[in-house]
Amino acid sequence: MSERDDQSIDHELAGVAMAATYEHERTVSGGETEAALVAVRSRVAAGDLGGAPPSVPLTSVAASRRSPWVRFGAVAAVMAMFALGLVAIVGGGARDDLSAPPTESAAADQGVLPAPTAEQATESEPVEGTTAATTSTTTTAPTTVDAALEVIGVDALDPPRLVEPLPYFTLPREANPDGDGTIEFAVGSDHVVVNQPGTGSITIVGPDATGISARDVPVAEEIRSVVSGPGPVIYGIGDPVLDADNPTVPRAFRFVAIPFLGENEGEVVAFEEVGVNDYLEIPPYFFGHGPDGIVARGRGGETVIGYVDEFGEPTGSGESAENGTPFPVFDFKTGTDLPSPPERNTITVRGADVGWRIDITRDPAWEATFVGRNVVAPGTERAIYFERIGADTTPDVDFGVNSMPVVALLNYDGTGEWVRLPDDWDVVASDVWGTLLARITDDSIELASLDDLVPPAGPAAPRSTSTADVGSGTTVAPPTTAATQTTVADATTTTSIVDDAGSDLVQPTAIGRTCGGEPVTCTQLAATESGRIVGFDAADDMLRVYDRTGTELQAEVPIVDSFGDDETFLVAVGPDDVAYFQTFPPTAVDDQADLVAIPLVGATAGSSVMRWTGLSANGDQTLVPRKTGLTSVGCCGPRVTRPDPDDLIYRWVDRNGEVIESVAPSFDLNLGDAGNSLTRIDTASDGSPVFTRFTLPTALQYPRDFPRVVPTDDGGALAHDVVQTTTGGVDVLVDFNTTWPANGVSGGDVYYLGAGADFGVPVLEAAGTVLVGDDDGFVRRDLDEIASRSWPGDHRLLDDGETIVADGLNEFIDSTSPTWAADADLFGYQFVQSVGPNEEVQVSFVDGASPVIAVETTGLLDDSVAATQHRIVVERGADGRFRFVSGTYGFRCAEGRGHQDFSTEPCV
Amino acid sequence: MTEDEFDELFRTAYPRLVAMGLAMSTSRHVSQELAQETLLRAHHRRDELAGYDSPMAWCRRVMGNLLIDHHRSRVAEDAAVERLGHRSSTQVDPTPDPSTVAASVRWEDLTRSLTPQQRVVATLYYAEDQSVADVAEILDIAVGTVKSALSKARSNLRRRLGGPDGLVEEAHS
Repeated sequence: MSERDDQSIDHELAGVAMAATYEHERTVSGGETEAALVAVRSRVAAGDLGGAPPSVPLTSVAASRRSPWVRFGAVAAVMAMFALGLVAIVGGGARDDLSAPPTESAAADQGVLPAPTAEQATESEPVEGTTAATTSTTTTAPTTVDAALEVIGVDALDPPRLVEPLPYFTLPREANPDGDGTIEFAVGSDHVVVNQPGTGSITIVGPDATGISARDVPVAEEIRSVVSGPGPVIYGIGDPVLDADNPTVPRAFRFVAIPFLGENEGEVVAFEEVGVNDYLEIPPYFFGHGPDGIVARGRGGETVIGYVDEFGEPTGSGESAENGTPFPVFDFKTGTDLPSPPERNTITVRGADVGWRIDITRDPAWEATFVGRNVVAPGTERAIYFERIGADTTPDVDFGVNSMPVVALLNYDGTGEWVRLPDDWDVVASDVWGTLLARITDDSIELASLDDLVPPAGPAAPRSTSTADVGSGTTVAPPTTAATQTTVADATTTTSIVDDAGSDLVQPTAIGRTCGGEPVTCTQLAATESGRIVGFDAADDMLRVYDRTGTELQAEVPIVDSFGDDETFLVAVGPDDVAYFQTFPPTAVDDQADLVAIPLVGATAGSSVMRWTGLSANGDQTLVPRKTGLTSVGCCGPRVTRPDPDDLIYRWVDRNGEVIESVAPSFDLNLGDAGNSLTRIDTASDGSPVFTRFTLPTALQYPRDFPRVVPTDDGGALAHDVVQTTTGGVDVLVDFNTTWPANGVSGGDVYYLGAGADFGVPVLEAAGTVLVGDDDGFVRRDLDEIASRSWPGDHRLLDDGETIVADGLNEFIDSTSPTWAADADLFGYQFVQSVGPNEEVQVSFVDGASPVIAVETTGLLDDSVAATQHRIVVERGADGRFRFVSGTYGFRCAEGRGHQDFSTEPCV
Repeated sequence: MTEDEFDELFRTAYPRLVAMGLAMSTSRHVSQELAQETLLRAHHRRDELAGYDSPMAWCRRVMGNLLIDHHRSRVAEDAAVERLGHRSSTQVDPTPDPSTVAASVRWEDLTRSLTPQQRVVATLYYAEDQSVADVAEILDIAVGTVKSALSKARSNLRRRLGGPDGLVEEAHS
């Protein structure tokens, strides 16, 4: 064989390579490309930057002066400087002005939306005689709508369901010696801005290596009506611009841009002038993001300042991650005056066939507020509208505080629902990254997220709505109607088992639990891809199919070829309702098993339609469902991507044994430097994948092989695994959700199994519930009923940057007696709740008179810092549970970059 | 770059990037994910890309780097698995996943033995028909590095291609 020259080699290689590329390219259909484009746009809308999420570097909290928070008078602090010249303007905010319905009020928002259509009509005339069913029993004058919109009604006398805020962070509140002023908030891509007039600074709250922290950024110019981002820039109304001829009277206000990072931190790097009377007496989150700059949501979406970077250079519309979404405008129209019950309002998305009708019936003792009507704002994958509709709690004061805060959750499929917050909580900011709640007391500002509380209402979610066809024009798709539940008597003659997706989940179930055989096995459960429950009893070789609720037996399917005494496990139910069993026949080699596919429906129901032999089954593998089939993930290996894409696939088959694929979501696990994330892979209608990544909680950083994980109805996932700690194996359940901040997990999303699940957790359900064994049956439980929730709060650092405080931790332990509080590892995880890419968290425990739990995080993506440490001094209570006593935070520098002990001295 | 212009870029680039991933022996779904990731980043920089002569070159660079990262982690992981002998346990006869099966003599089979960087360089040079200078610019590495990687790749591939009949021999080896 002669040596070939480079040219000949190149020629041959190029031919093969180009042919291969061409062949590959042809396999990418136009539909797949379009679906991928939609997926990318959704990620853009969700604020996904790609790669590692940005974080806000936070330093110690500097001392600052804080002002008291009042519900109205947002301009008071700035106006105080020019009181003489502006008294008349401030006084212009008369109640009569507020009671008049705005003729045109709009909000410029962004979010995940259906494809826009042709330019939508702006205003339309009232339709005489329009009637519509709402939750209110009161009827009023016809409303102004131009489409068949979902009516989403709320009535103060028939309040919607209550949701409890999930805490995010708590700030101290200090007295403001300068007088009153509204504490304002803004939601950024991964942080929250708190703005307190009179302090001369803004506070950035966001994640860093220590968890959630806050830092104050002194600002050269005090601002109000703040908006954050894109990028590390805050916008808001700043100082007045004085008239040269009359320096006591401003002729305009500056709408300024102030970076909170970099060399210009706290400085005004750009501004535009806005009319002095344009933006007085405005409600919270009146301003928001537009396509090219900050817009007035409550005033037709007009742009007040273009986006700039931290140097004040215009960024246009493409420089940052957040401003690339199609920014629709919400038109808010009302057909009735405040507070005519029910007040009928129409919200439409300009340029898209989407809208809602929100009918509001306030308490008869309701009072108009000083700043008037709130604005519609985007939230995470939905829009929101917030009001207080209860009685005035301070009737002796003008513009008092109404009770009953309620939020309309407006999904972009045209559906929605109202929910109620506890009376002392308000929606204080909302943007595509999330909806922020706050409760302000005399000495603290508590922040919470709405998004963790209420999953987007899908077709099966409860809503206090009805559909009103009130005119012609655009058409909104009606909500999905739940299929009728059908009882199947004879599965062998049935071609399918009808889903009952709309059924309410109830407990207990009708699923019996029996044990028998040798070795003894008990009823095993699995769920079909549509959520129905399948039970397998080895004792009588019977498969039983129940509806989604488990309350109705739909079919009994005898297994034709009995497994006999072979140890057999129900592994999964794949597409086309085919069940898969792992069985150990006597002929099998040690540590090997067979995999058998048995349909639940059709002419072959109960018969084996496919059998694979020789599966490695020494107990160190888990069969994981994929799009194409089941794959075996082994234990304890170094593989950071699981399942390995090159692993063998045991293909799904249909009831006739023909190979098919699943459209159910599947999951990838990427550990260590691959990302420390769980990825949910959905399948678009054209077959292309759509990826959603979730941060891993610290408890799941070292999974043995692959956690059991199911997709949940809210787009997230519910996972179960057993983790090893110093006290042994602990069952952990994680409620992954797609909400702000950025698909992460907070302490409240991680649960550790305790009493109430003596027989394990055989079924994880799409609703976020589980089925557990209960003597001779199975019952449905919420996670809180069977497991100890992690601490939903988080620690913080004091001004010295070193001292750790854990507000509410001991109280949480006292009140809930969580099992994790008796385990040093799990206690330590409360202080480092999730792991970032490449990070590893190790917990060490030194017992003694003053026990110490040290939580060390290494693998930080920082070339100067090698590790961080949270050193927690604890005491053990009489109940065996630890309590927090004190804590310190420090970091160790990388070799050659500074100190090698844990301290807060900067590294070099 | 307007949204419409970005959409146009996306529709052109996405199939090519997926094909680029597949040509590097990456599974289809990883290729799809990395292509989406690349174009997500492109969206964030679309105004910057509008000023480039070839936005596609920028996309190739990002895709190439993502592929290198992906393959490096895979190579290290596979080596460790091999050392532990875990691969030998899969003595079964499952129905293979068609997306991972080589139908005939294919480019990815040839390049599987290359290092991640060599594989990207070879893919860009041979499959994408880029010049050495263009590959250097796309990957943001020196021309000399490209030449070196290409030389080593060619040397490796020469052995795998074998005699005058080239691929036939390798296909049966």
